[in-house]
Amino acid sequence: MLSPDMSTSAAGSSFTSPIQSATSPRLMPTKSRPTTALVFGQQAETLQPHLLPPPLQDTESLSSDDFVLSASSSSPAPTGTATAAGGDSHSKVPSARSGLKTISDSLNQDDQSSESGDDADGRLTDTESEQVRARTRTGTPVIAGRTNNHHHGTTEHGTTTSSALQSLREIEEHDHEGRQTQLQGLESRFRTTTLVAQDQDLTSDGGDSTTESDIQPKSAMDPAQIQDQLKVLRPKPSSGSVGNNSLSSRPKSHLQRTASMKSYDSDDISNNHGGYQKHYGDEDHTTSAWTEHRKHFFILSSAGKPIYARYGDESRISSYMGVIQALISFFADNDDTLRCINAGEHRFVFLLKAPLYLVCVSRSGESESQLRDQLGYLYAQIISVLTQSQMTKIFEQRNNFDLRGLIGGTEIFLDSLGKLMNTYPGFMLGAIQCLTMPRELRDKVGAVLGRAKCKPLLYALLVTPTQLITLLRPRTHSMHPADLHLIFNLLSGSTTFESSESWTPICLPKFNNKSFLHAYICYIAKKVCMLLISPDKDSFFEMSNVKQKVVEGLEAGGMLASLENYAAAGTRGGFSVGDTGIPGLRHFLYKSRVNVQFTMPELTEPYATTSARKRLLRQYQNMNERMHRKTRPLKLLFHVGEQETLLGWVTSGFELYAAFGPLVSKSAVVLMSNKLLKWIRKQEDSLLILNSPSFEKFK
Amino acid sequence: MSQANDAAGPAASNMKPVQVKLVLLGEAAVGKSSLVLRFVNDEFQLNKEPTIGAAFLTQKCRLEDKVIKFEIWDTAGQERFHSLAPMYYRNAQAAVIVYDVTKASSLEKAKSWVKELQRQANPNIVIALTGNKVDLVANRKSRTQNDGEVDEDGEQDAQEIDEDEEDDEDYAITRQVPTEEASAYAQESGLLFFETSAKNGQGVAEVFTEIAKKIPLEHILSSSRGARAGGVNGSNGRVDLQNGANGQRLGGQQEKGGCAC
Ligand SMILES: Nc1nc2c(ncn2[C@@H]2O[C@H](COP(=O)(O)OP(=O)(O)O)[C@@H](O)[C@H]2O)c(=O)[nH]1
Ligand SMILES: [Mg+2]
Repeated sequence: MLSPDMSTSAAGSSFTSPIQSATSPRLMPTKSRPTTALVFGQQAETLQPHLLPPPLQDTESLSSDDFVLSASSSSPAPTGTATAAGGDSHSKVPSARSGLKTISDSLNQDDQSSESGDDADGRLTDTESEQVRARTRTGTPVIAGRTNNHHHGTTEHGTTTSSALQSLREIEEHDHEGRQTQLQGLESRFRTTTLVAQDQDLTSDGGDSTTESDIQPKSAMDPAQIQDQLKVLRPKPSSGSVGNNSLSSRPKSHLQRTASMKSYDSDDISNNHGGYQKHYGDEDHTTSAWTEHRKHFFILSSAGKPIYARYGDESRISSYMGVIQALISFFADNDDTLRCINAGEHRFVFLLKAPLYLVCVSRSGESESQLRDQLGYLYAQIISVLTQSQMTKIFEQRNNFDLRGLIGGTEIFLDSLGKLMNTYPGFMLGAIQCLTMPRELRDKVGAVLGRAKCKPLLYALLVTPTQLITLLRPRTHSMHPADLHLIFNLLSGSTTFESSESWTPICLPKFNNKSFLHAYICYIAKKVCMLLISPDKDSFFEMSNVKQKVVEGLEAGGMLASLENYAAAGTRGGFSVGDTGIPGLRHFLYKSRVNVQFTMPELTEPYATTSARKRLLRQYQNMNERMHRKTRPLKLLFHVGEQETLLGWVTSGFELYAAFGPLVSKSAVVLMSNKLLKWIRKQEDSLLILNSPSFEKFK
Repeated sequence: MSQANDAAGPAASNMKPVQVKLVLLGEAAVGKSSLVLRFVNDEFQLNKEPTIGAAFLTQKCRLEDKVIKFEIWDTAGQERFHSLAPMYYRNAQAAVIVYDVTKASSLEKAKSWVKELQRQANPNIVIALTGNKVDLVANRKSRTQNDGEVDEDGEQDAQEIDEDEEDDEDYAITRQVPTEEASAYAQESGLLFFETSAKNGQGVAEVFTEIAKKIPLEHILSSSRGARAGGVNGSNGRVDLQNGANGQRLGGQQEKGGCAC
């Protein structure tokens, strides 16, 4: 009875009814919002103004926030276009976009202060840990320590110097018009969540939220009080009582009662539900090794039952879970939502998706929204094994349910997701990586796939565990990158698929979070995995037959061997930065926003070590965060760091993050970046999938 | 599929194989996948990752003058997959229900699987009850009290295991299910009974051999032309599809299969 009913009746019906899928916006490659889904049909050349997808700030927040439902989403839009404002130690550049002058002008005052706050924050400095984050919980910027940072110049350009940029700006202005109309749609779509969005601004790191700070429920809890409770969270527990004390004076709520009921501390240590040892499962949470991890994830039920902890045995830290639960319900009692606490160098980020609470405790330097996105991915991972509807039903029946029994065996995928999010930029970019290979081969492989399709086949994918080779889809359905990321994580998180053909129910939350699809998984060559997705749970042998035909087709064309070679090269990185012929360039990330794909070269010297890679990715993350900040997004960001110079460049068509040597001048960087773009354009059809095969499903 | 027949000898290679659908059931982590991989690929992996959903593998064997093709569904033991199990055992001719001799609760789970099969599966299904991981209790009598006097082999084995499973009480080296208890239960329920180790291969081939012997092969042969329902693909008897299902990849591995049939 507790086991989820995986019968496909639901899946089947949702799939076979075109009407229903048509109402679900993200399934459709609609012209109105193409970038929310992975639409390969659209070519880069379609960068005609009238065909443009809505510009980044909106679509980004749409796709990620929609995902996390934290829904800060659409609200930032009006101010979101204010580019303007120079860095503290640099000359201010007037906004290039005249239409927005008024907004940016009116913001200028706030911007000034928040800007210095940003620098004090050390967001764009070189090493991720050295700076103590001085920001307080209230979101008021603290103007301290800025003097340290003068040698790390950060210039933000509103205007452009090169001709390439000039022409791009034109396009963007068109964007802007498109966006205004777009926004209205968004607003109504997110109507239900705007309330929460306000809360979010209060705790968000932007520092820019000062204008709204009067909304803040100051009475709720003063910072000192929060500090008090946090202390309980870190060292040894005696915590349950603290949590309860703070609650005792308040009117009893549903959540409180369950909090004080938690008594599963010592005798309910029923770990090992799936019968497998978690990687860090036996780590003792009382040791410093445990507290020193940079990023903890906790998942608990809203009744306070532990479900998952990235490190340590979740059932042994149930007292911490109790504290988390108490904190959350304290705010809930005031009809408020706890979103983020910044305490020293630690950031506590909460994602409340009743009946689950997800919490991240991090000193990795990632921003609140980045961390919340990551929590959203963990949540999606759980949904993908249970479906939203199953989970809601289970907890409706028994609020105190121990979910670990049901998600048993999933821990390894939560673990691997935690790892992947630290190394794979696709999560941050909201885009997927493709295997670098010649377009002709990709097209031929796609044609073989297309010939093998059968009736219940919904999607056919060929992937190296984390790179897409090709995707065959019905013309009416696209695939969301977030769903693809879950698939990548499934394949890279376990070797179990390498030894047989597998058949498993899987929920792709962006496709439909209420029902299961069924995935046929089989490695057809080393590192080349075939994934066939069907809504019909009885279609294993049909899928197996498709695979057989594809394998025969690929072998006949001699393609399987070359696929295997490209896959092997791809797992090393695909191409090297030397291939670009730009001497000063060290590494780059390029995202095509039209295709929702990104590419990057192999990480070689000086990024050959794991720690250097992580550091570089964190730098990219910081750039990305700064450029996409809701209140004052930037189009260009030039950052001189101790170990490298970085350029961030965001347009409506692409996002580029490039790392150069430390002593390169700004003009040289601009020159090289233009050269790099030219190179990418030329190679685009092997770096990206520009047109993926599709077929008519309902004809 | 032809190359696999070579293993069965030239005489058999032109015979149509008898297809036997077999399903593995049992609690998570008792070693179902390990048993199958030992049988099909003759390999073993310590700390195998959990099966997701179900895995499909095939293995051809020769029994006397017949060629048998086992079509094996290795299911995941996790609770959330339980509701999918009927789809795999519904049309199976054989089931291997696995428990872990070092974990008493796994026998209880095995018994509940037996009950479910007896209620809902094909009434003629051949069920084999298999206690796995006997290598962990090698050279020890049931419910070992004499820990002091293990012989050399046992000692060595025990140390190796200590390292692997040290902090999991459930995997303490003592046997929790005595052979006699499980065997008596199997007898009264009409099941085949085996004790195996996927790790060292002990008893694995016997499980499949005895199953093959007990199954009415002639009957299957004659009826497979009709509506031989095929587990997951329902009732359309896709014999050809199933032949091709495993493809060249597994075909290559079949030659070294551990089948003693
Ligand atoms: N010592 C020992 N370990 C085994 C044996 N069979 C399986 N295991 C281990 O038990 C764990 C679970 O095995 P697995 O085959 O995945 O179990 P399943 O969930 O029933 O498929 C893995 O770590 C295996 O290495 C065995 O015969 N002896
Ligand atoms: Mg298994």
